[in-house]
Amino acid sequence: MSDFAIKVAPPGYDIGTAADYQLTFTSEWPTLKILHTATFSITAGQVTTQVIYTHGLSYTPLVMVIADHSYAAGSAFPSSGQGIMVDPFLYINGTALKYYADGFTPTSAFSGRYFIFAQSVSDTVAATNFLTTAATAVSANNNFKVVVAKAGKDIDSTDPRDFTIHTDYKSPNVHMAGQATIPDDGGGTGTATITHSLGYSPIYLTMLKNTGSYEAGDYWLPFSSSTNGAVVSSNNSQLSIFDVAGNIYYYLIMKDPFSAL
Amino acid sequence: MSDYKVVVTLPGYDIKTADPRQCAIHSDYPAFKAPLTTSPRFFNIASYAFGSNPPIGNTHMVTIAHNLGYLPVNIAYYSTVNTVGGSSNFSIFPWSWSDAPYFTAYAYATTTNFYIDFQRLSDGGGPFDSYDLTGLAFNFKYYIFVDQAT
Repeated sequence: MSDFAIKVAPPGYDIGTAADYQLTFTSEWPTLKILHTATFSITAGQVTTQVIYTHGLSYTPLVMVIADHSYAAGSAFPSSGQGIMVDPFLYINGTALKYYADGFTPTSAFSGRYFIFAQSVSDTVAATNFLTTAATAVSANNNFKVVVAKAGKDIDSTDPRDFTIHTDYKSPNVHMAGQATIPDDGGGTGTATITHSLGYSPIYLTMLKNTGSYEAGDYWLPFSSSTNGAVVSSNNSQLSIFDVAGNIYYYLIMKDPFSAL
Repeated sequence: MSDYKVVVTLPGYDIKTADPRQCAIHSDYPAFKAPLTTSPRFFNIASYAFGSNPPIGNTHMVTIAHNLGYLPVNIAYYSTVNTVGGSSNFSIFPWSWSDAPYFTAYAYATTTNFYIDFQRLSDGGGPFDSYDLTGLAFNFKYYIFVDQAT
């Protein structure tokens, strides 16, 4: 830990004893920051590559998609794993987010929203565990909060969407990130394990680097746990990725046990 | 963009030149947010077990009334407790039984509720229509953020 740091805990929590995951934020690790977000739509019958957004960054960023799905039309399905991931694909590279049909013709239009984060698939974030034992909240003086409003929004707004960060809300904080190559455990497949040592199964996202001949080097969006035979899962100590040997994954693991603070 | 910002850099980075990746927080780049104190909770751990064989159709295994009035960003993970390739590890939705595409589970949000559903499709009178899923059980971890999806 550096000599100078900022730590912000929710109302009622002692900043000296709050566990890492209980903090609203700290200067020791990044929150998952949204660089850009917008809606997109793919028209029925779209069979060619379609650029959804040219991001203009000097790196390939992590992206997440919330999309509609025929199971419950007009709803919001997390990640692109549910219906639009397997085929056709959404890809991102150092230039753009794009739709790639791969021979699949969508019979109906589908739409969603994408989020591009300030996380490069090439950057490594080393795991940090400072305080892992949960602190107990005391009676909070709710007059004291740390609130950062979005540009042009009123700090007194009652709409939580107007804030960048807010101590009354939990935001994902990055625990670790990097890339893993699937080993050959025999038979051309294997399991890569990433030890996070959090003591709980956390939020995580993964992207698969395309090593095929088409769109080579691009990354598939965060996808379902068992796409094309691959299995991605986590437990209290590690993230496991089973897939074809040689495949490369970007992973991002957050500090969050999902339980109450 | 406003003239005033709040920027906290990670250790070792100059606040005047830091890339957003090098910042802990930055007022130009918001984070997803889930309320800490709501009932029902917007982030939680849940479970569901089939006490009897589920019929063909859809079953709500988890229903959380968020009542936001818009489609929120959400994310969810599952583990299967027993049967059909059960695992204590958590994977991101959707769930499907690789040997039987007739059994699937989805997580999603409407403008009022967050759901985790089990869907049982018919295989046209084949063996999976009569397959007994009694005892199939899931654990879930989910997050509903107040940030708007669409």
